[in-house]
Amino acid sequence: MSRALSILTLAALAAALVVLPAPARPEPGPAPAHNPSSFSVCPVIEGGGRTTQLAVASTVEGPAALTLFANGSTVGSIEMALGSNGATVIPIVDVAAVGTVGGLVELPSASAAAGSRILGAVSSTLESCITSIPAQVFLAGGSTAGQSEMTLHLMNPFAGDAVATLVVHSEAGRESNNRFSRVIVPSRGSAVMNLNEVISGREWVTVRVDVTRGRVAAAVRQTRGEAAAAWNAVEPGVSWLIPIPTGVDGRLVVASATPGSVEYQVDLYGAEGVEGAALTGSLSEGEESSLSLADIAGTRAVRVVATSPVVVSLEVSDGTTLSATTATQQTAGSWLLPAAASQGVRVVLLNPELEDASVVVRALREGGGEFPVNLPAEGVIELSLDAADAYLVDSDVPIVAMLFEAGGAADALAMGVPVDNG
Amino acid sequence: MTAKILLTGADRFTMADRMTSPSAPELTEQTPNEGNATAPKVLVLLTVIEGADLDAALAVVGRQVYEPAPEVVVVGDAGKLEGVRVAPDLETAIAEADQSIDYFWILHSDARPRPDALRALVTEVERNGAALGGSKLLVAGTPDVLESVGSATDVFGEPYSGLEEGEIDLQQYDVVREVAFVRSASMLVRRDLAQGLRGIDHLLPPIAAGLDFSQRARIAGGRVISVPSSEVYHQGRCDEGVEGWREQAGRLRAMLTAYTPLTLLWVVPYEIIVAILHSLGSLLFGRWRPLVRHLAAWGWNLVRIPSTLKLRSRNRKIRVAGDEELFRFQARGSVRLREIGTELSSRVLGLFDDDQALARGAKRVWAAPGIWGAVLAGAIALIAARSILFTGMPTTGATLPFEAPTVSFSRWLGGWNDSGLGSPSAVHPSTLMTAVLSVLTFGATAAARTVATVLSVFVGIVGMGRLGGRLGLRGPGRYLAGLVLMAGPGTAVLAGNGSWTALFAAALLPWLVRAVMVPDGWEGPGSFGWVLVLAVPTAAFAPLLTPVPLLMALLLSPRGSMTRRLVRGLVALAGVAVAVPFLIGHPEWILDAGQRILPIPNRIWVGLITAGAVLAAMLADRWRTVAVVGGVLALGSWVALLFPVGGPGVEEALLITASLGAALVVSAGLDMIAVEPLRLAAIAAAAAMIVVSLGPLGNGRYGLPSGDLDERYGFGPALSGDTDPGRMLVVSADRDLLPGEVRPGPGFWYRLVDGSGITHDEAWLPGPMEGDIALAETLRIIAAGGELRPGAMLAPFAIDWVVIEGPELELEAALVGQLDLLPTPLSTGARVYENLSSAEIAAADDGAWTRSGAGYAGEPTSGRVRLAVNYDPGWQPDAVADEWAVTVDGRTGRAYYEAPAPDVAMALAGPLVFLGGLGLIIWGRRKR
Repeated sequence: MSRALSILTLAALAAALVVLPAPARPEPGPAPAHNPSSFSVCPVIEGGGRTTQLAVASTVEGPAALTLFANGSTVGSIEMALGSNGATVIPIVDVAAVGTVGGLVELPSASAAAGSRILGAVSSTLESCITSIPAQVFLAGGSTAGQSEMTLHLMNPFAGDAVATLVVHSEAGRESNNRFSRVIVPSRGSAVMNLNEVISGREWVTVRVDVTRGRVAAAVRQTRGEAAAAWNAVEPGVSWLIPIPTGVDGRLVVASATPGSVEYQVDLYGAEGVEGAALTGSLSEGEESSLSLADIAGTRAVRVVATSPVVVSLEVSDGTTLSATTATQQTAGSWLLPAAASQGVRVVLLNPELEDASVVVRALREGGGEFPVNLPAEGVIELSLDAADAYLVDSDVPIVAMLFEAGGAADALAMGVPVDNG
Repeated sequence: MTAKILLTGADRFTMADRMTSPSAPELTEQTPNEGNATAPKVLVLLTVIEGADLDAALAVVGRQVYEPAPEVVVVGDAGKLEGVRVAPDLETAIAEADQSIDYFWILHSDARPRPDALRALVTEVERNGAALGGSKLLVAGTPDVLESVGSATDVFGEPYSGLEEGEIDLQQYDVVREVAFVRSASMLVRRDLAQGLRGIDHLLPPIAAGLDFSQRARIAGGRVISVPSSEVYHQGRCDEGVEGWREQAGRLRAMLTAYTPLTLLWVVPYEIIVAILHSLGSLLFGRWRPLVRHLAAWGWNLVRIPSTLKLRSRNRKIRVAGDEELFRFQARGSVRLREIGTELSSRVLGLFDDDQALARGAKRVWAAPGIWGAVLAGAIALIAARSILFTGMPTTGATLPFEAPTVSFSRWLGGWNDSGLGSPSAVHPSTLMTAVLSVLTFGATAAARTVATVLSVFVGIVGMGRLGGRLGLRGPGRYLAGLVLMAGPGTAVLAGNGSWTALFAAALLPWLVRAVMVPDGWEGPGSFGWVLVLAVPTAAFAPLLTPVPLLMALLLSPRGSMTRRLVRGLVALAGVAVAVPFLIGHPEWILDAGQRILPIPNRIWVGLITAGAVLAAMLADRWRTVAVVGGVLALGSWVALLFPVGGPGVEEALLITASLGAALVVSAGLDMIAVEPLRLAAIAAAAAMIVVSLGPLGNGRYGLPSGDLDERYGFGPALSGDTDPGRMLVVSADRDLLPGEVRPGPGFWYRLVDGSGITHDEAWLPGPMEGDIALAETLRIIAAGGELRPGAMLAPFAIDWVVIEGPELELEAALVGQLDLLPTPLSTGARVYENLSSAEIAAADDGAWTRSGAGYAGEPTSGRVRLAVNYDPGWQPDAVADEWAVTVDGRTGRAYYEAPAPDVAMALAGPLVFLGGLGLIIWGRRKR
């Protein structure tokens, strides 16, 4: 090779190295789409004059199982087969006498749900069990003033220990207490905190649960005299819907979950659909605002929108009874309403869409019937149904379904669980 | 040589006329001592040596200028001789000697003493009051080549004359002195002493006989001296036919008979240790005979223990001096070990010393071109190994511990490939090399790994220097270029990625290229043998490197040498035989670009290589050719790397070739130091490349990344107790953080590793089989979340632990809400989950089996045992598929894999090629 040709060859190779693009590094496959969970975590109280019934319902057949966990181990478990009607009720007393613990219900599919009914001597609470456990949840509407007693129940059914920090606000501002920081919820265990022992005399209390390790399902039990209500801490959001049963008294609670100021607006659904904004306001971090149902008489449902994540809950109370539930951020074509009902209930349906919905409500019990109903656009209807283990609501338009049980001294209010029944 | 000078100015006779014919010595001017009535009377005991001319010997004795004329007795089987007495053996001759005799002159019939030899002996022995005197022996038929002037020995009787081979007698040793022993070819001994000692031990060969007699004379109180003025030409026929082991056995017997029991108490064990070390050292140089000789010598002596004891008993009666008297004339240590050490050092230094400067003398060593480059490169390499030497080998990437050599051999010979979920595919051929290295260190696998790794860079440096020498380069740059070869643009990328095999492949490549680039006139089978012997290990470490020598032969050979080199380049391709089973079982290793590192060309290297090659291209042809070929190889390899074609095997070969090319550019650029602008610029570019190479070497691990997976994943075996630690699923978004090859998963890379510790053979993952596909699907489901019991899903794969390395993964969010993978806080830096639903890797109905070699073993059971490995009918006994896994009959208590015969045959091909190469080398040497 001549000298010139040698140099030319070398130069050409060097130029090629500069000009040619470097090959891209290989990447692993894409992350898969997220599968919905097929389990629920339920607060369970057994003893002290209270007992728990779990209602489990599913749109598909399959086995289910309940595991009661406490102090790092399993304290009772039972496998169950959902009957032909797709629902069953398990009295916890038949499984184990366990105190205040958590229950993990393994569902046959993602289109299933469970609910926990805690019966006291004169009280009854009902709330759907927790299916989604994000790293941050929030609850509002609690109180430790007067005869009110607020008990926070943190549950960790999973393999690893969880650590959470509680950000608690009240009318006194942000509450500061060692018991709120680095709360360890052991694997397969619960942490129960009576807030009256820590911050008594607070008219209102909001709690944000920031989980730094593991996952924690949080629920609250609020008593006021003999009456009791239970609802779940949920992930904050900017848009909420909740129907309001007819003829009830109580309040709508809006609370800010995030730092900074939040503007919110409450839209009211009347007999003719959305009637306009009834209330606007702003909230600082952890602050809650109450809207008396009496002030919005005739309202069948509300929609709350906010500039930053908030949580909305509905409390029904007439002075002797108390029930509450958290609003929903979601509309769906199918809803499961675990009930474990022993008496007649009312199913309240909200159609927030602009078209009418054909709705069929099924009572999941032996010989339970179907109740087809037409739900007008932006309309709310309320169905009175006989007792059943659970109710399944199917609609051709995405709607919201809630269960209300009014009977004697004990009311119960529980938002339904949206499921995919496609 | 230890000696005591007694006298100077010994009688000197003319050295001008030397006898060149052993049978007809010339007469020198004689100075007879006629009429000296007081002169001692000497009896010549002429020992018959087979093949020697007895008549000539008698004639020579007859010409001795000594009075009274010595009487001659022929000792041995001499037939009928007229006028000469004959004795059957020396002992008889000595015993029958007349009391008037003063001295015996014991002389071999193959010795030709000068006429004055006897007189000189008698004179000096008398003058010094010695009991035994030996002549200076010169090799007959040579120009005064010295054979012996008396010798020292070591404590084992090994002679140490201090003479160089072929050393000419220039009177440099002409001093009468006490010595340890004199040869029996010509020795004068006092009659009374000889009779007391009963002559020479007839069982011993000549040298040992002299030693034995000298030692016995000394412990009897006699002085043993060398008389250089007594010159005897020695034909050496007495040594012929005497096997080396006989001399060795004789020396051993001399030792056993001479020393006191107290001395023997330490000398005998010491001798055994020396014999072992000497044998091993000799084996290192390919000599097996010393081992046999040692064994034969001891065997011979063990058989003759009774006669040895008898001799000891006899010696005890005459002993007047202790062993200290013998020690006075002995060299320290072992002569044999010293010789081995000298040979070793000369061979090692010879590697760096093409010009034999060392052989010419230490003063000229530093004037030798290349030597300081070699020393500097060696020093840098030593510093670059500091972390390995002080803290041990890293265990990370594909730099992993060896398995026991028996297991590695078994895997290589068609055994089960345990990587991942296992496969019948062959393991990487370097597994065979790890077994060989481990055998060389007697099974100490960690030592084998450390020593071999440290030596690899030295081998590469020397190889590069030798290759440069073969290409006509003589300067220091060719050795310094070894640093660029081992840490240059490509090798550094591989080493940095944890490729331990790349170091060895790079180190061997220049040797292989050198073997192919034979110079003119090199013919014969040996040159082909070297090509094969080097091609096999090179291919074992980097299978696709074998075409590089052919390419080099094509590019670098002048027309006259091209055919010969091309043929050898083609022969080098045979080395790939060792990798054929692996390549067949792992086609993706050649084809799948997804497994490649895909490095981005370093602009600095591109600039330096281009500049260095262009500058050297403007120099004379000698440097231009080497630099241009090096530059084209380096840059061309990098250009090829930019195309995402070919798998990691292709990438590995191209990267190492790029380093070789860069090293050639450095060799040419630094070959000559001269103050010329062009040369200085080329030197600067070459020096800059060396400096850049020092970067990767700076970490003290030859560029290998740090890390200790044994420690990092040591919790597996530590926490598993008595049960088999099963497997670990290691997962990361960054595949460089995982050991060895990995598989792509949903949003992460993953692989399985042996829970008891990942080993070298596991670095390469075989092609996916049914189990691997099932695992991939399981991971996809788990990663999607919503699974409450992922541990139970992983249990069939015997996954006891899930380890997540590096950045946070979406998978971890899925693992937050589950029941049976317990997050375990360990101080490893990784997120570790213990599988609470784990299952045994070899599960029997009534217990578990554990790994045993390349298979599994446990308590025999009447049921079947499920092995969590990919199904293959080769599993024994009685393999039955259990979904993707396999079950075997548990009654034997053992499960093992039996490879098909063709697989075993293919595995043997590589070693056979290697042995064929060795055979050609031996054949070539014999031919030569």
